[in-house]
Amino acid sequence: MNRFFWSVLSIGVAIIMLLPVLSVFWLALDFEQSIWQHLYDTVLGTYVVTTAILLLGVGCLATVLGVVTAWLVCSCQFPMRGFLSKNLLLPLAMPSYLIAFVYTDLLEYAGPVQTGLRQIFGFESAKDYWFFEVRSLNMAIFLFSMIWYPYVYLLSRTLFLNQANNLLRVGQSLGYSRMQSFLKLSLPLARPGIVIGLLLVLMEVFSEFGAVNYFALQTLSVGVYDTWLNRNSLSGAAQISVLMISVVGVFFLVDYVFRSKGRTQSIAEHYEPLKPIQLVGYKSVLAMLVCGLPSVIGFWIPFLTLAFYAVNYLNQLSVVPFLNYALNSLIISSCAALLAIVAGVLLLFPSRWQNKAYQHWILHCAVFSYAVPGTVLAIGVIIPLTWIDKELYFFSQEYFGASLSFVLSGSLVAVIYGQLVRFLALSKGAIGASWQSIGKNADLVAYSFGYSPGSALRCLHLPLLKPGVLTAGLLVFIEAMKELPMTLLLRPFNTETLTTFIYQYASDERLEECALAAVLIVLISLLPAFWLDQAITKKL
Amino acid sequence: MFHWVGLMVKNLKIGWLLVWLLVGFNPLVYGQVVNIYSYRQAFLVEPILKTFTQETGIQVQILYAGSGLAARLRNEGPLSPADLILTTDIGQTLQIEGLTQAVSNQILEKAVPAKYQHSKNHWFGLTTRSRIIYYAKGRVSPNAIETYEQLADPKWRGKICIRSGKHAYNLSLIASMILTHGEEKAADWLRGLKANLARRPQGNDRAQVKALKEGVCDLAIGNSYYYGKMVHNEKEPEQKEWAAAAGLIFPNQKDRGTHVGLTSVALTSHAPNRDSAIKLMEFLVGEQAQSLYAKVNYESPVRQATALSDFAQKTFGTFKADSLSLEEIGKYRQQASELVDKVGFDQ
Repeated sequence: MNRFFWSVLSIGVAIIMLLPVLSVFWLALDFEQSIWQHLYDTVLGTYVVTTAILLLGVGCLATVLGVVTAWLVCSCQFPMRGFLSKNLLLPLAMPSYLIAFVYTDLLEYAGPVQTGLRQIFGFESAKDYWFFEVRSLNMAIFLFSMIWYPYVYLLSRTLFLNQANNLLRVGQSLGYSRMQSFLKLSLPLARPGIVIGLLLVLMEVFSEFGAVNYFALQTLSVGVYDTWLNRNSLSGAAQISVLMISVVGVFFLVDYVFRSKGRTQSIAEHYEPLKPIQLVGYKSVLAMLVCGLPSVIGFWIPFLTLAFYAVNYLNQLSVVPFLNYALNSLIISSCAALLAIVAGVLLLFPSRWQNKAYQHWILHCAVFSYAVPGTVLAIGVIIPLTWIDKELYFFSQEYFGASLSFVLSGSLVAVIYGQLVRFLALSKGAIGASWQSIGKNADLVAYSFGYSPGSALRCLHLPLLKPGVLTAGLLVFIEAMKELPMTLLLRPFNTETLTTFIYQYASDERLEECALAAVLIVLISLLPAFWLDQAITKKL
Repeated sequence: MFHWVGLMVKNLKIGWLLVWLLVGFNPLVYGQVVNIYSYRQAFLVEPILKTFTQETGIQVQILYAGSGLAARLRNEGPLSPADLILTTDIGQTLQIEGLTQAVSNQILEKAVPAKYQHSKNHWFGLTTRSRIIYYAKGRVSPNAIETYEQLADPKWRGKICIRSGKHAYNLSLIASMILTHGEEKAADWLRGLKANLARRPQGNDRAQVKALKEGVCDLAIGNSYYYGKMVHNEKEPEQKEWAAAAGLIFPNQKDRGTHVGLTSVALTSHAPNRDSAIKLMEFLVGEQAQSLYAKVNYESPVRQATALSDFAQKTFGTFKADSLSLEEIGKYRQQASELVDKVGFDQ
C-alpha cells in the first residue's frame, strides 16, 4: 500500500464523485442560441444582479457574524458562554425553505406581529402604517445569514481553538493590544477556515431554490428551473448551472492564489490553551446579545413556532407514520455521513505528499456539486446510475438469463450517492481545514520511522484528525437530514422521508400539518449539533 | 464511534456490506401493482387510490416529486418501473411527450371530452380547475368586471393581486390569451395587467385571496378550488374569513368561456403493468373517482353529468369553460413564458 496506490484510489473516488457534475456538463453541450438570446435580452441581467447582491450580502453578514461570535466564544469569558457557544450551532438544523415559510407566516399582515401592532396602535388596515415587505431580497439576505453563519462559526472556531496562547505572547511582545493581536495574528491564521466557511455559504446561496422561489426573487437558481420547465430546455438549465459552477471555480481559484502566497501552518511546539479575557459590565451584556441573537432568530423562533403548530395538530395526527419517515431519514443521512468521511479522507490524503497543482485540482473540482441546484444535480446522478443499471440488466440477461432491474437507481443507493456527492464539499472543507493545521513535518517523522502511508494514516493522521472527521460527519448528517430536492426525485417507491413529507404540505401552504415532521427533523439534528460542539472543543 | 470510522477507511468489506444491504433494501410488493410517478401531491389522490385498491385488490405505489420526473423517466428508458404519470398542468403533460403510449379504450374516450384529451390518445384529462377572478365584497360590485381582457383596464390601477407570472397556472392563462388574440395583443394586455398590480407578484393563489381581505387589492386571480378549501377549512378557521370576504367571477361567460387548467393521466411507453394501469385509468374517469375529486379537492370533473355536492353545484357547478383545446393552448406555453420575461412581469 504505497503512495501510488493511495493516489490512484483518491483519483478513483474523485471520478466517482465527479460523475454527476460531468453529466451536467454533458447535458450542457447542446447549445441553443435562441435560449441564450432570449435570456440575455430579458432576464439574465436581473438574475445575475440579484444573485450577486444575495452573494455579497449573505457572504458579508454571515462571515462577520461567524468570525465575531467564534472569537468571542473562544477568547472571552462572559456569563452563559458555554451554553451560548453550543446554541450558536443550532441554526444548522433549520432548513432554508422552512425558515422562509415560518417568518412569512409570523411577519405578514395576518400574522401575529402585525396583528399585535395593529391592536396596540389602533391601525385599521395596511394603508395606515408602514411595515417592511416580508417576501423581499433584504429579508432573504438576513434570514440566510442567520442560518448559514454556523459554517463560518464552526470552521473559524476550530482554528481559533487550535491557536496557542504562545501566539498571544508573541503579540504582546510586539506591543499589540488584544484587538491588534486578533486582527494581525489570529485572523490571518484562521483564514483557511474562514474562507472555506465562506465558500460553503456562497455555494449554499447559489443552489438555494425553495426560499428564493417562495419570496419570488429572480436568482440564477430560479432561472435554472424556469429554463428547464417553462422553456423546455434541460440543456439550457444545465448551461446556467455550468455558469454557476464556473463562478464558484473562480472563487476557489482566487482563494488558492491568495493562499499560495503564504504558509498558514501552525508550528508551535506546545499548545497552551488561550486564557480568556474576562468581560464585565456592559461588555458582557453586549457579548451575550451578539452570541445569543443569531441563534434566537435562526433557530429558536422558527423552532418554537413549528412546535406550537405541531402541538396544536397533535390530536389530529397519528405519530406512527412519522416514525417510519424518521427512520428513512436517519438511514439515508447516516450512510451519507459515513461515506462522506471516508471519501473526504481518501480524497485529501495524497495531498500530504503531492505538490503538483493539477493533482489538487482534480480533487477540488469534486466539491463543485455543492453549488448546483438540487434537482439538476439529481438528473446528473440519474444519468450515470441508470446507464450502469441498463448495462447490468443486459449483462445479467445475457449471461444469467435473469433480469436484475434497477439495482442502483431504483434503490436507496441513488439517494445516498446523491447526498454524498452534494455534501462532499462539507466533508472536504472540515477535514481539509483540520489536516492543514497538522504540519507536514509530522508525516516525515512517521515515514522516517518506516511507517507506510496506510499505517501513517491509521496511527498518526486519523487520531489527530478526530475533530475534523467528526465535524465532517456530523455536518453532512445534519445537512442530509434537511436536504430536499434530490431526495424527492431520486428515491424509490414507498420511501417517504421527513423532508419529502414536509414538502407535500408546505408547497400547498399547509405548514401546520407538516409542522410535526419539521420539528422531528430539527430534534434529530440537535444531538449531532451538540456532538459537533463537543468535537471541536475536543471533548469527544 | 471513532473506531468505526477507522474501520471503514481501513476495511472496505464493511462498505460492501452496506452497499449490499441498501441494494437489497427494495420494499417488495406482492400481487398486482400499478406504479405511478405523480406531479400531484400524494395526499390529494390517495383517497381515490385507496378506493381503487379496495375494489380491485390491485396495489398502487405513488412517487411524488414537484419536478424532474420526466427527465427521470427519460433516463430510465425501457426499464422504468413507472406505469402511469399524473400531471397537474398542461405544461407538465407536454414535457412527457415521447414517453407515453397511446391507449385505445372506449371507456376513456367516451368519458373525457375531446378538448380535454390528447388527439392521439396519449393522455386523458381527469379534472379541470378554473382560473377565476376573486373580488373584494363590499368594495367591488359583482358586475364590475366580466372578462380577462378587462383586467388591463386602467381603472384597476394598483388594485390587482396575482402570483408569479411564471407559475404554471398563469402561463396557461397567458398562453390561452396568445392563442385567442395573437402575441402582440396579448403582450399589450400583459403590460396593462402589470401596470395594475398592487404589489410585486408573490405568494401563491391563497395568498392573493388573503390580500383581498387585508385591503391590499380589490381583485385577485386564483384557481377556483381554493375557495372550496378555504370555506371548508376547519383546521384554520381564519381562512373561512378570507373566503367570506371574497366573491367569485367566472370571466368570459358571454364569449369563449373561462380558462381552465387540466390535470391528466398518461400511460408510459414501457409500462410493466399495462393491464392493471389501464384499469386504474378507467377507474379515475369513472363516476366514483370523478365525484370524489369534486368532493375532496373541489375540482371540476371532466366526466359529464357527474353528481356534485350542493356546495360545488352552487359555486362552480354550471359555468361555461373555454372551448379551446388544452393541447392547442399548451403549444403557446413557451411563448407565454418568454412574454412574461419580455414584459418584466415579475419585477
